[in-house]
Amino acid sequence: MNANDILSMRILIVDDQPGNIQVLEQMLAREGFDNVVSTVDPRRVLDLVTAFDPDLVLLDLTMPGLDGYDVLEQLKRHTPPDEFRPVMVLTADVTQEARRRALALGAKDFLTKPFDLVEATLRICNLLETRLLYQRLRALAKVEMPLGAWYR
Amino acid sequence: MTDAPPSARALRERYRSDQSNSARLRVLCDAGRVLAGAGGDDAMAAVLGLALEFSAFEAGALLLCEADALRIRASRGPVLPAGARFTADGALAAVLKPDAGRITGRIADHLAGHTSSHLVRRNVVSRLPLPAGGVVGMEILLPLTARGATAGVLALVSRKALADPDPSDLQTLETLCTMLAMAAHDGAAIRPVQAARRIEQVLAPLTAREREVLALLPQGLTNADIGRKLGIATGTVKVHVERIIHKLALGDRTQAAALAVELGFVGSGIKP
Repeated sequence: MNANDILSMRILIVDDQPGNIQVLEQMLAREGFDNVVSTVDPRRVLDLVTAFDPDLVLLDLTMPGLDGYDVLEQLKRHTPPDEFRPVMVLTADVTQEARRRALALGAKDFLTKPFDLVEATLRICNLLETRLLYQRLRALAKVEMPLGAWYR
Repeated sequence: MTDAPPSARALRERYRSDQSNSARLRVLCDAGRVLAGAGGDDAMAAVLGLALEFSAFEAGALLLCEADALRIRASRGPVLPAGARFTADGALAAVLKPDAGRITGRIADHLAGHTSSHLVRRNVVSRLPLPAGGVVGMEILLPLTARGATAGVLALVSRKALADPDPSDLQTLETLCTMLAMAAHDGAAIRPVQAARRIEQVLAPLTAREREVLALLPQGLTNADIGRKLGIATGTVKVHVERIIHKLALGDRTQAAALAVELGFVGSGIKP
């Protein structure tokens, strides 16, 4: 595994505030990530996951219409149980309830804004590394098992 | 003040179940909003999209009954396109029958007495997917039933094998199907096969002349008026009316007129 394997992985950013997306995009671009797609519309997440097949989702919690928890639920429904597609929650909500709820619903990491850009990048790299290892493992084990109840 | 902290596992289960319920509620609310709006084909397609988004199936179709056949009203994913028409046989015919669910699709339901009439089929050749004749890992067929009549079928298809669906999710989809059936009824664009059959059944004992007389009753005409319209004697009309009342086991002329309206004979005496 070398740095380029990680840097070429796909990242999807979901946040209703274009300003927040910009900060993350610049942060990732500075590190050398060049496969980043973003949306301000949480209702587009499922379509984007199907089309773009991201290796990591960076998700805001407080959004109108469909909030981050709803998106986590949707992603869980649509992700086969033997699939590992990490979601990292980035939110201004500092309550313990928010952390617990997001992690219970399948978020793999949780950061509150304002966050330290370097720490955020390190956490992102850790999740991508796990995803990469998962992909290599899956390539070795070709046996397809029936998917869990509606992917849950 | 200091409650024992909840176990992480219990907390996780609670959050997940809350969120699932909220997703179920949301799909029904969204569908209600769509159907309350414009209606028609676009609304049907939108609701199909909601059902697919909710269930994580890759493709689906909404089939409406049309004179002993089914026509695809909306479809999504690699299945036959809207407009395709074929006869209702096999699994599709089974799910259109009121008791279908008790044959294979009945799930252990936590609501006592709740009869679900969907069919869950695994590794079958389905009528719907493209390319034709393909084997699907799982297909769910749900009847669109409302007011005792079945207006069509909602079919969800996954080429991959899936494990058993969650009973609560199936119930949510059944509710969605009832909403679709109501919308199909109100759209009046289709007359469910069952309704057409029922009319035929009710009218079976009547002669052609008696049917003509029955059709004119909602207009509130006198026997003499009906006689003039049909070119027969007033006394003959009276005999016809009495026979209609007797054959259909009705109480009086008013009940006969009400039945005629119910069967779709409007003021003009012509079926809509």
